[in-house]
Amino acid sequence: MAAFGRISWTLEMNRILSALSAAVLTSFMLAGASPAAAQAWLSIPANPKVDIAYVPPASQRLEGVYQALKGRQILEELQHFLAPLHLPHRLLLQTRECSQVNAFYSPFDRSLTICYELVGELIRDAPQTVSEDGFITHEAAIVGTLVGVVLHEGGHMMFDMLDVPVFGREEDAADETASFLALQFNKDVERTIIKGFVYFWAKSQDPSASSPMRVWSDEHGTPSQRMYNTLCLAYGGDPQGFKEFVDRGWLPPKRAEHCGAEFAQLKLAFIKTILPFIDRDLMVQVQKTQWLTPEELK
Amino acid sequence: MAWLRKCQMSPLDRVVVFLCVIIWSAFGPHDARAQSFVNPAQIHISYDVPTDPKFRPMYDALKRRNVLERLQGFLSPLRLPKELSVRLAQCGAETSPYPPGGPVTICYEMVQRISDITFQNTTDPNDRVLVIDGTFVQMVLHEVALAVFDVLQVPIWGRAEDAADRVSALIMMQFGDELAVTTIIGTAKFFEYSKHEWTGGDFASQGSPEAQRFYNYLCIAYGGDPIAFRFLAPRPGPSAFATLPEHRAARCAGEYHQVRHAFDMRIMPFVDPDAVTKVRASQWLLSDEYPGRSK
Repeated sequence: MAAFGRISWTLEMNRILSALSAAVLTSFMLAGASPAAAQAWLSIPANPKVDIAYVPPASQRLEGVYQALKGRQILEELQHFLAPLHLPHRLLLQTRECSQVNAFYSPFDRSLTICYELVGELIRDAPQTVSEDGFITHEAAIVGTLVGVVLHEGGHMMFDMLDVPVFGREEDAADETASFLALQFNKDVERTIIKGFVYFWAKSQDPSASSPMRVWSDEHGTPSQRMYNTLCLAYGGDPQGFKEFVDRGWLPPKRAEHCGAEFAQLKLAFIKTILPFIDRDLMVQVQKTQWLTPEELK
Repeated sequence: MAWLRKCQMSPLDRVVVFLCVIIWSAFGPHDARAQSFVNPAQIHISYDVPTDPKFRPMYDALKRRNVLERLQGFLSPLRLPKELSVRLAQCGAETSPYPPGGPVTICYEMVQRISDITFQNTTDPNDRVLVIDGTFVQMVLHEVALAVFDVLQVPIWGRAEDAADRVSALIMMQFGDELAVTTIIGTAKFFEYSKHEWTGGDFASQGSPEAQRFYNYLCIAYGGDPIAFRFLAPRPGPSAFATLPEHRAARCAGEYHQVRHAFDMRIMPFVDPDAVTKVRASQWLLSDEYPGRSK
């Protein structure tokens, strides 16, 4: 099972989820339910190989997140978003209670799961209105990160279903998928997803210098590694659009000078291994569609 | 490695002799098959004369022992669409990143570093041989893997440096369990000895921390041959060598098969299978050239 990798489930979750205000969930739900947003993606056919399911949570404290995702029609939107992809097998997209803060793709039953606990944490960790440095808004932090997570798991799904040769570490490769796909849309969308991803990793903790050797054994990179990889691919793919990352000193010049080549490597991999499974006409339609609401793009 | 101790060799000599010996048995003049392995049109080699006199003995020794000529033979099963250059050089740094189009550069400075770190961290002669031998082979395979990715335009998902490590580990696993254990564990110990503590901006590097590389090599090894590497299996309590944590060990067979599958799909079509069989069937280490094995 390929998981997103930030398993930080604690007893604190009960308190956190209870504390999620009805207003926050309501605004999240309403943001995607606006008529304009709904009309945009409905013009694209749903991928016939993709099934969806919102599994009701057993825990009452997750009811609000469940209702919010259902109201936001996030799975229906993904069903349409995946329209250009020729899948050799059926895929189940589901949201459910997992007893962990995570999202994952399982090759055993070909399911991609978004856990209510993860969404709850994203809402909790998002800035009240906008982050102190002005980097990201409340809505963009939630939606950008969530889309990034789904694209990451979508990477695992494509590696499995499309029999993609993966030479490097698969978790890094899945992060690359998320960054690459984010950069295939308009500037507003690419910024929201990349910034959401960066925000998520920037506030996570790396192992300390005194950590025991075993903390390095995980198949995922550290939060900082994943943040720098995202910054680098974004800058490599769109140097003008993400020049701010270098100007602000977030992406060190020593790494920045290689980012064009890193993005070129990724693009080659995508073209050779995934693009043949994509319907070009539908892809153009997907690229032109406004998938996020104006509130989420702020 | 009793013969090494008898000869009172320097660390550098041990490196040179190791490479010589492992290739000698397959490609040396005593082997009638040697010429059929060599395909000079594919692999171009060169030894750059170092400007720093301290590297001169290293240069002389490597050249005298035809290390690159033997590497040329080892790589001969590759059917590349264009020539690949491999050179030994003084780089002014420990590494010289592979530029698109080549050449592969193995730096005298890195050979020196391998030797220095090993000697600073262990006084056990067997350990020293293990670490120097394993790390030198890893370094060469890693650099050649990056070059092959470039020359064949191999699609690389994941970071290229990690991909090169995984291919290196995969290749180390193809020549029998004794060679696999020597090179994998030697490499892992070198990463353990390196003790570089990563903080802050270090994580912006294109490469991975030594501690991550340590587990990456061990995982491919355990996943590829859980019998020869059973001492890496998760278990409670102290052990002579770091074991794999349960959560990672459970994934290692999958990791091994993933990189093997990728190699079979994207690189094997450019490899002469008959030549590979000959290379794999060769005796790469003589009986008394493994650490800890008595004569």
